[in-house]
Amino acid sequence: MEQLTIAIVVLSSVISVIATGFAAAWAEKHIGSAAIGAITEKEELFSKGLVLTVIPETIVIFGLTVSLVLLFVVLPQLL
Amino acid sequence: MDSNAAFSNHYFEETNYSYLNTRVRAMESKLYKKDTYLKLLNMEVSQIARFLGEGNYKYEIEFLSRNYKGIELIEHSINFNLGNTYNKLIKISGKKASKYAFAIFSRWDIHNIISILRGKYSNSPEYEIEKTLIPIGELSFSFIQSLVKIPTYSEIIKKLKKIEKYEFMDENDEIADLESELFKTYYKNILEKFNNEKKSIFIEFVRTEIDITNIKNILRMRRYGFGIEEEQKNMIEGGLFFSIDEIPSLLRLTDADFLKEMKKTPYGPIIEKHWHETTLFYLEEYLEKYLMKCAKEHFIGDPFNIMPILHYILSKKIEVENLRKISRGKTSNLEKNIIEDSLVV
Repeated sequence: MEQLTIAIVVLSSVISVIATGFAAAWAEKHIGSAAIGAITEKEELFSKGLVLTVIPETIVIFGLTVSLVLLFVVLPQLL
Repeated sequence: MDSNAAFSNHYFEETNYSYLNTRVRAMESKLYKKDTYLKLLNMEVSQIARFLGEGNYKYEIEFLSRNYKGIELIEHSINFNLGNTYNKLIKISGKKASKYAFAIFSRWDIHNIISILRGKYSNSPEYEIEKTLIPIGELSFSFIQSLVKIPTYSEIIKKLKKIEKYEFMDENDEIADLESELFKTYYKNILEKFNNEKKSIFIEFVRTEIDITNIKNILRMRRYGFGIEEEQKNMIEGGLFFSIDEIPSLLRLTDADFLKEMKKTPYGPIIEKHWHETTLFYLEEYLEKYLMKCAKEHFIGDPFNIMPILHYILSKKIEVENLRKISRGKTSNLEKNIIEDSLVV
């Protein structure tokens, strides 16, 4: 039973990074192409476009935090 | 080669709506606003040409300034700019979105053909006809230009008849009949082409456009009288709120009943508001604006569709028409307020 719980924690940690990674990639794909579209016509939008493009990265940071908490806080308590 | 090469020349295989719609919005933000038109109204024709040359029309003004001057330069530049902008839209649209853009742009073939036929009918010189041509559409511009060089009206129709799409044209027909027949065929082709997308917003938009064209014709006929032949010739099938079978009865209703019928459609408030005006100008203009609003509303609802592109196509056309009105008005010394009233802003 204990081993199953450990496996679930490790798996959750992996899923949180993978899922948020894909979510950020999907969002960046759209925001990035929209930003490129706008910058092509108006170069002055470069800085705004760049900032907006990297905003979805925060999703991965959340996922990574959750993953690290699981691996370094929750997991040691189970071992 | 009769067909426009740009129509088969895409930069992208797939349509990326995020890219396309933001780019088109950025392009739309560069269009002239009301305050620019007011500024242009205070300028002379040469100053207008200089202003355009410093802004969005730089390339065309610089390119054409060797051959033209004054109003001629402005007319040719705005037409070429319209063509260049639309061709650019096709290139950046990708396959999926460009099929809608093609459908809309094939209307410019009709515009060009009608301009040439009208010009030849009224014995206008070639340079006057060329001034009205827009280099966009399914037919290549060199083919359109070759039509201008044909000396007579009937010979032009004979040449056009060789193209499958224009087989129905007859050199014995009146120009007005040919015009309405061309538009009918244009809408029929679009509706047939997108038959499997009956509920798509694009088709809804096209059908709204048909409604508005029909209403304009109904209002004109009601106000200025009509014959049975005209009634059948001018109406277009496929409208959103009323079918072609309802039109004869709409033409014969009393004013009160007609307004009551119109109130059942979204066009009712516009028609009611301008019903008692002496001219139909504002009514027609507000119906056009309603069409613009339709494109805008759909756009706000869902940015991942074709509507922003359609909205830009309409807005750009309106900008060019406004600039044409200002420059022509200035050349013929019209009063400022008359020109201003005619602008769509």
